[in-house]
Amino acid sequence: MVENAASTQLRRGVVGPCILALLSTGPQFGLQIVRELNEVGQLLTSQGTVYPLLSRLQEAGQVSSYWEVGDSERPRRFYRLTAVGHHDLESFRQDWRLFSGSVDSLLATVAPATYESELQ
Amino acid sequence: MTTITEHPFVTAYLSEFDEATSTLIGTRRLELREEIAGHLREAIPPSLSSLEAAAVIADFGSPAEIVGQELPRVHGRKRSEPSRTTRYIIVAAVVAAVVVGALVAVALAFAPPQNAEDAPTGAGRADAPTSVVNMTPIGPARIQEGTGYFEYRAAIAAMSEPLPAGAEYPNGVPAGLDSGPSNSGVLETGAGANIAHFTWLCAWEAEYLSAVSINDAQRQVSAEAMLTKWPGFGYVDDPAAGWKQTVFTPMSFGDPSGVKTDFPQTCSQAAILNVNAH
Repeated sequence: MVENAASTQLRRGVVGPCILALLSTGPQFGLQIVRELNEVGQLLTSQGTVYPLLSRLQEAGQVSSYWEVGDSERPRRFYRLTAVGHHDLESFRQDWRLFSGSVDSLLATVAPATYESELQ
Repeated sequence: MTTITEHPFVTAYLSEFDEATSTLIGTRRLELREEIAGHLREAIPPSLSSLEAAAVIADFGSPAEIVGQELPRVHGRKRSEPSRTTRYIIVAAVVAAVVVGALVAVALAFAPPQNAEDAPTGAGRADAPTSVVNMTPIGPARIQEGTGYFEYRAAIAAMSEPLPAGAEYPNGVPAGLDSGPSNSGVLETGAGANIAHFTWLCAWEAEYLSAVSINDAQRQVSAEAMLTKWPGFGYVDDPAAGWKQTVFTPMSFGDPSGVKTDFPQTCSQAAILNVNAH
């Protein structure tokens, strides 16, 4: 995927809500979140940046975290959605539907050939 | 105790991370390091080839990229930027400390040395009694394993200010620190770091009270200057500014009563028991 400033900004804006959406199915730890985001389609430019992002979501009250010692030898920090996170996720769903629909409509009406011909 | 080996690439990455994160606040740095270490140790088992490990590291991103995501938020935190009021209080405290130091020095010049028996165990010089903060303090048995111990060691390494002379960090964390709610498999994060931070505060409060009790103006002013830094570390959320009001403000006017009251409580939070300012 070609990376430019616009797509980087777009990713930054949507990865947070995408994490909220993942956590709406149940608590997950950082590595799980990274793997799921990657499966969907390389939503993170660098996987490690998910941790500062999770911290921001926690400070915003959208997620909470707890440590768990399971079968693994290492304790894991799990994140789960809070009531605030649920509410914000639902708001984002509605906003995204409108936003993406508007952008799709605009791009469909302004075909690449139109401005290419203007440039000539 | 379970031994967890680590891929050399993970070790190297974490070393680089430690260097790159010196600008982050202590507790946040620890949290971030712990999560990143856990992530990489799981994603890069020791058996992974160098080629595969390098690919995982490349996808993970450099420490600089991660810190780059942290800094705007960290620098935007109110607690990392002292307010105007806080700056005034700090300036006033420094001025008061200088005045108190001068007054005590003058008093010392005209008064005979006072009995040091009231000093808390906690000296600031190599030839003075051992501090209450030492390798084997009074309190529960200490252990050198577990997540809490890792946090404790990392917090000590991240501390920007040293202990007073004659004090040493205890060699381990209280046994059972990790076991608190572990019956359900859950442990509280930050407990080890908390022990380290309150150990530092306990040591400097001991040093301050020791200096006050023997009218050692130089040590008193030095200890006060260190204690003044405590709220700025941001280790403890204190929205009501209780510590400032009850400990810091009286101290800045030369009144050690707040520190005396706080001292046993502080030390107990570091699992150092039976300390007494009298």
